[in-house]
Amino acid sequence: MLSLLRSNLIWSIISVLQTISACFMIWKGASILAGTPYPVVVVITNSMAPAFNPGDILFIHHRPEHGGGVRVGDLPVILNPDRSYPFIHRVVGVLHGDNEEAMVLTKGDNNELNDSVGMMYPNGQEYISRREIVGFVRGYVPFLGWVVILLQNPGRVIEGLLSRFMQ
Amino acid sequence: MYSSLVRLQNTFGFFTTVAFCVALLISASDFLSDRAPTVNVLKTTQLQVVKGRADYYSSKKEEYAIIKFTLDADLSSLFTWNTKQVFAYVTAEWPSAQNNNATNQAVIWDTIITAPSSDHLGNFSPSKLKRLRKSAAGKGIDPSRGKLQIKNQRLKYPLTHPTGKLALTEDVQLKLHYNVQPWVGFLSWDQNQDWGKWKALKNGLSRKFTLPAIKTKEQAKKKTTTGGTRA
Repeated sequence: MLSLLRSNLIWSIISVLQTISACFMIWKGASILAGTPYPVVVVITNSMAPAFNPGDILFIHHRPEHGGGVRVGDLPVILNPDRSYPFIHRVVGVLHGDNEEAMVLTKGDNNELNDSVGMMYPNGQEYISRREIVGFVRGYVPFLGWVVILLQNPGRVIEGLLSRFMQ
Repeated sequence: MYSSLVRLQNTFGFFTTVAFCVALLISASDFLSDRAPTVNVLKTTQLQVVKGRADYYSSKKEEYAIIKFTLDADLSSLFTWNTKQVFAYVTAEWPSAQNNNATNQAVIWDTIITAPSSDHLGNFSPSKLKRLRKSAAGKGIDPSRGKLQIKNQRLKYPLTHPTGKLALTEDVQLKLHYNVQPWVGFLSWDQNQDWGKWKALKNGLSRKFTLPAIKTKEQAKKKTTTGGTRA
């Protein structure tokens, strides 16, 4: 009886571990295919509304649609060295000065100020470089990301539902 | 085997499979619709270069350009039942003096054109929302959306350069771009070549022009003493 209970427990633990490792393998496989550590991103803020709203899912690839370097209009995933999470805005300037590297300026569609004036870049940077871009938005699915927001911050889901009903 | 949890799991798995297939079919439908965006007019109507603070937030004095332009374009063919919005933007582009193969690009004006299905997300005033809904008349596609006719439009964003110099920059061109945001599927941008049913944007480039020199105080005074208009 005891050995039966023990083997059932072991099988349950193995099945949970299988699920976790399958999720991990799918995530890492997607990262390899997309060439970026962030193949799928859930939108949390309103800074790119109405294009991207909280709860939307974005699919990321390391190359933009045109296949070249960064261009104005691209939607890069920006990871600054001192931030633990990336953010996604639109490129509004690609400028070449005395440095070899292009200087990239970004802005959220729903923000009045660009990210340089809006203090989104660390250490008083006026521009970002290509090295701080870890991918570009290529695909989009609305609403399905609310599951992730619910797991991270349940209060946010209630706030989202209330704002939707009150519109 | 037949517990509630297993049934819930199977139902959820079936739902995600079906949702994924439906999403693929919806995004594939975009490639079957025709796109033929055109630009009739894109030209500058005023050019000036000034030295000073480009806007309220500028921390230093630098040369910045004042440009007014006229645009007449038809992007209505970009709207399909799967289009959420079209982000149209005009850029100023010129070759880099420091790097022969590089082009400086800066957005000078942009607009978000929502489809009738996403008007409620556009953060419009109640009167504008009412007007948009009336023009759509309950249809998924409104033929009037995407027709841009603007005259003597001033810059929405200051045009500056990291070197602080812009006067006498040669081979500057204005270019219209667009980014189509679907409800489900792949985002797409303006293309240089025709691709299947999607045609490249016609006449999206203005003529090349040179930014003028900065007007000095002496030049401005000379104009007024000889009876010209005040700067």
